[in-house]
Amino acid sequence: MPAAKTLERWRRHPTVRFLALALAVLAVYHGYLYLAGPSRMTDRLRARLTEGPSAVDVLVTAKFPPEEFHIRLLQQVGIMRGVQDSTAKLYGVTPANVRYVSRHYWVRRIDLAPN
Amino acid sequence: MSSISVARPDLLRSARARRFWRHGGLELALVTLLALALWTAISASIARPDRYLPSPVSVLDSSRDLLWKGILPNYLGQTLWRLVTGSLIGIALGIPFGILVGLNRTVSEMCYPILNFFQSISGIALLPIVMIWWGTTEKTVFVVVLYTCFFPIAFNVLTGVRSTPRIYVNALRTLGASRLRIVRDVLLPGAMPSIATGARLSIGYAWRAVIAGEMLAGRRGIGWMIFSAQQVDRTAQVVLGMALIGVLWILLDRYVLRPIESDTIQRWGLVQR
Amino acid sequence: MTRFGRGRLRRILLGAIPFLVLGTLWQMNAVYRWLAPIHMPPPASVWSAIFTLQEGCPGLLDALRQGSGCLLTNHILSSMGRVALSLVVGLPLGIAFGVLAGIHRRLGNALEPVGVFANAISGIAWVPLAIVWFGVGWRTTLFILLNTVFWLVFFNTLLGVRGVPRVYEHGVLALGATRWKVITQVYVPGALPSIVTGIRMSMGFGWRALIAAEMIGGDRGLGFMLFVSAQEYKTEEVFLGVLVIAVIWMLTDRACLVPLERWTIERWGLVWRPS
Repeated sequence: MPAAKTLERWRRHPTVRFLALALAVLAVYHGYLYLAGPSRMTDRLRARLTEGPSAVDVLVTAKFPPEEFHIRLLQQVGIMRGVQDSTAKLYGVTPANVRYVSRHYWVRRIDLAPN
Repeated sequence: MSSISVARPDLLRSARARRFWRHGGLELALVTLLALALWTAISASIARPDRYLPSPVSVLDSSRDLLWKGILPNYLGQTLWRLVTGSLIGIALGIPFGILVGLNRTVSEMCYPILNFFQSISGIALLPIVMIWWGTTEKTVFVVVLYTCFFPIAFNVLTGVRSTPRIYVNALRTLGASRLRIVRDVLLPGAMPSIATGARLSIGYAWRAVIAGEMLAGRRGIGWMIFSAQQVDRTAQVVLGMALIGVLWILLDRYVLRPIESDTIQRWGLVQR
Repeated sequence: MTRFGRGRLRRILLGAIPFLVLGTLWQMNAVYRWLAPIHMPPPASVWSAIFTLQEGCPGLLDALRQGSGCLLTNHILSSMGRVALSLVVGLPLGIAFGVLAGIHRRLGNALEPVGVFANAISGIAWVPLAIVWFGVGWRTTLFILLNTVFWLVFFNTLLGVRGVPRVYEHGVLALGATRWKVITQVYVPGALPSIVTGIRMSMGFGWRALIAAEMIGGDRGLGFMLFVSAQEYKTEEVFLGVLVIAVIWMLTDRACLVPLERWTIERWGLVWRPS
């Protein structure tokens, strides 16, 4: 059947295979980040989030002292109140943004800020 | 050639491997090793290698560091995203524009010089003006990439449509085809090689424009990375960024742009003179 | 009436219409102020910017000698001087290497990946490394331009030489030609159309790379002028610079390169292959 043969030709096309590979890699990468997100949040943060607050204050611990790149990124989701060792304190982060930050693989842990 | 395959049959079993070795694969491997060795040697012999020519090992180290800190994937993603959105929209606008203008002889003769004019003003030359208008925002880089992509492909499509031999148009007209039918069956296929070549040209220009835009407008990305790394003397990052730019372009050109272009010319190239 | 007949006149008139429309809109904007003058300067101020920039210039001779007051001509001469220098150095080197690589198959196979990679790192990405090596200034911009010109001419020469049918080489050898004669009588003329295409491409890409390099890492030249004027929000100077760049490129392309290409193909077109 001509339709099947065309599909076969498309599947062998170098561009199609390359793009399919690239998309697959992207999908796996983002999938992993998405799934690993919640594991970076501490239990009490998750408990607090289930209450549905408008904004929370968090302590973001990276795997290293955060650099300018990371501070810029964190400042886009909340008001930064200081950095101690590898931990940054952020005020006023919406739950959606907390989940967004948790999906970055350089974050070790996100904790609820005590106040 | 056959002697190699007899001596080491396990190494060259697949046809693709054989093609690789036959078409200069050995030279490619040798030249890569030689270049790396030369690079390491020069880097070890100069006064301040970390400033002037970091060794391949230190470049790899900096890449590991940037990957570990999540900076590199972010920058890569930003640059590629700007390229993809800007160029796809620019091409999507340029192709219909070129076809529409090419339909009528008078209109196409009117638009040819002005399209040529704007094509000769590269997007990078326009960047200072756009920066005065919109500052150093994402919009600036997007507009510049859009502009860079639009004019080459519109120009190429216009010439492609115009250079379709009139005899085909007339033949279809004698058979009673409507205007739309002529566009679909003669002009569009006739312009396909120009569309493919124009797209490849456009995306090449757009790639350069993205890097330049990031450097000048300060948007975070691979271009910005190499520019700011130079300012703090982190030459290893500069070399890493350059290598990434080269590899990305080679992948894009070899696996996406060139196959599409050669396929299109193979299929529709009959109408190409 | 063959060269400048009615058809050509019609095309010129029609082609001028969009320019006239744009010019009229531009002038109307200056009168009605739809866009602020800082965003869209009136044509009159762009024109007078020429004279403002040339204010301290005593005369034509001083302009040619790049005297200190003649800002605009200094920038133009700087940029074009670098283009000329890169052509003088890059062209012979590129052609020589290309011919060598085209003749020796192994050498060609070895140099081609280097060329592919060097080309893939587009000229502008070399700028930060060039700044590290040469500092901000003319050396950087010249290096970028040379880089672009050399690799493109090399590539196109390589392809051109490879495309010359071996029959011609064998024919000339059978008639008792030396190696040198084979190169000059068969390979170089046969590759000439590709070489000229390479020159045209390298000029196109090189000019763009030069402007970009001058913006980022230069201290003189049209690109530098554009960038500095933009930082000082002198939009009329930026507009002037862009127009000058466009005019220079169109003149070079239309007046020099396209006729050169056409003449080469007419003369040597026997072995021309579409690229």
